[in-house]
Amino acid sequence: MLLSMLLPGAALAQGSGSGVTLNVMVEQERVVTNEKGEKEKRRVAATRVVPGDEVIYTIHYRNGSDEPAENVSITIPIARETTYVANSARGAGTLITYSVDGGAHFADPGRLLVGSRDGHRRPATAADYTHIRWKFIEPLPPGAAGAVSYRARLN
Amino acid sequence: MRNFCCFRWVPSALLGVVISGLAANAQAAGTASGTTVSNAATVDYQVGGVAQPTVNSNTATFVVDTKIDLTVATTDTASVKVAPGAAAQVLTFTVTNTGNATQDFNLSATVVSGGTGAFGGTDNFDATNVNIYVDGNGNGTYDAGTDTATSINDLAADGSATVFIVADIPLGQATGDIASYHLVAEARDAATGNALTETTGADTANSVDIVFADGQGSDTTNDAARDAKHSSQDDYEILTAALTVTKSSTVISDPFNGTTNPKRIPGAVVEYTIQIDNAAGGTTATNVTVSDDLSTEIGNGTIAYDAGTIVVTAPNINGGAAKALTDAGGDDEGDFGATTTNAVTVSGIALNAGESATVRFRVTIQ
Repeated sequence: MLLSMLLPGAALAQGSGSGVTLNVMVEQERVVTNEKGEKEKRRVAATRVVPGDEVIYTIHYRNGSDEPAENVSITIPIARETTYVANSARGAGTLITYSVDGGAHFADPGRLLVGSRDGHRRPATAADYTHIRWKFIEPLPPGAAGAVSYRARLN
Repeated sequence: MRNFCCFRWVPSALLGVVISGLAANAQAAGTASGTTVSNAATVDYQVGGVAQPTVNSNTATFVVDTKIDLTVATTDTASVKVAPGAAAQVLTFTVTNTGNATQDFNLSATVVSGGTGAFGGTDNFDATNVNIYVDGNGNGTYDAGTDTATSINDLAADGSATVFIVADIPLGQATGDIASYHLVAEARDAATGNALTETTGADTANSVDIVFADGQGSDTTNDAARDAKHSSQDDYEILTAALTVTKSSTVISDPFNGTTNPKRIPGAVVEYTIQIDNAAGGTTATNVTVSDDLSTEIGNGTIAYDAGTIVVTAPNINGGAAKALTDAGGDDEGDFGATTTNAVTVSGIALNAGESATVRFRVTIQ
């Protein structure tokens, strides 16, 4: 009772929305010829993807509640048919960390190690990443929305 | 605004994590056509310091399309050396399906008329009876009558097949002449064998489209990048035997000096040596026949043949050791007078490049 008085309504995250929601879309860049006859890169839905092609995952987020969302972290696995493209993760106001063990632990790229056949551990490369996490530095105010993204190559 | 929460954030790394397998790439040719690639994100957060249930996103998916890609490469590391008149000479290639779906492959050979050979030189003749066969039993060697398929049926992604161009070499070509060919392979629909069409224009999500991803091979006339074709060039190069014949004589004995410093006087025995050399760098000569006609000398009474003195030394006869031959015809490799009157004839000699043979016989000066 004391807790709910101190933090009225917060624990249930009630309000106009339904808390933080995510929407993931996958796109690819395609060179198209525009009306002026110029070639330009456009992002289109990933409908024609063959091995070796790059796709862009964009995760749109929105705080639909009327309370700030704190310690927000968005996590996405890298689909096992794909390989993360080095340095491609983007997310304003976030700390980006990676996992090489199926999402059990996350760390900065320089701190990730993976086992190699000879029993030693070597620094991980982008191809070793299994998950990406965007940890927001500041709470998300009510109604705040944005997107984080990364690129991957189809194996 | 900094976090106003009075609690320290507690890592919740293990909550709501979707476990994914380690990034794996089972096939060098890539993810199989038709595979649906799905991915979804999760978000963890707190409100007023209280952890909220993990929220899952929608699942974003796409379907892997059909990548048409192939590589044709000759496995010959130098031009294939052939002799004039040789039948069924073989150029060897591999066709590899580097796409991500099973395909059929049509095969064709194109002549490089006057162009540069795959291994240097200039194409200056054409082979005849040019055929293409697939290595049906997979032993990497052309087997006439066994390797009969002329196109590749159902080559799986990452699979490769050996393909032979088999042709006859015309007579009358000289060492160094080159006949150069491209093998062109074209990916075809695995089910129907029909030509493939790249999907162009608007496409539909979650359907399998066809994308040509091949590069251009050696046959720049018939093979462009992204046309479902690839090609490789290989050459036949003529290599003939170059035989030289040298005849020498040695006095063995005379009636007065015997075998010590004999002189060429009437009654002296003279040994003739006919040496046949096949020059290095050429090819094997088989069925070499040596014939020395003595009819003029015998006819004018200069010499007489000493019966039973023919000796042949050849790599393929008697294990390379000297072999005495009879004068009769048909019982061994040589005769005197049977094949041609008053002539020494020795046949059946085979010489690899760089090898030599000798035929010796004796006469008496009259």
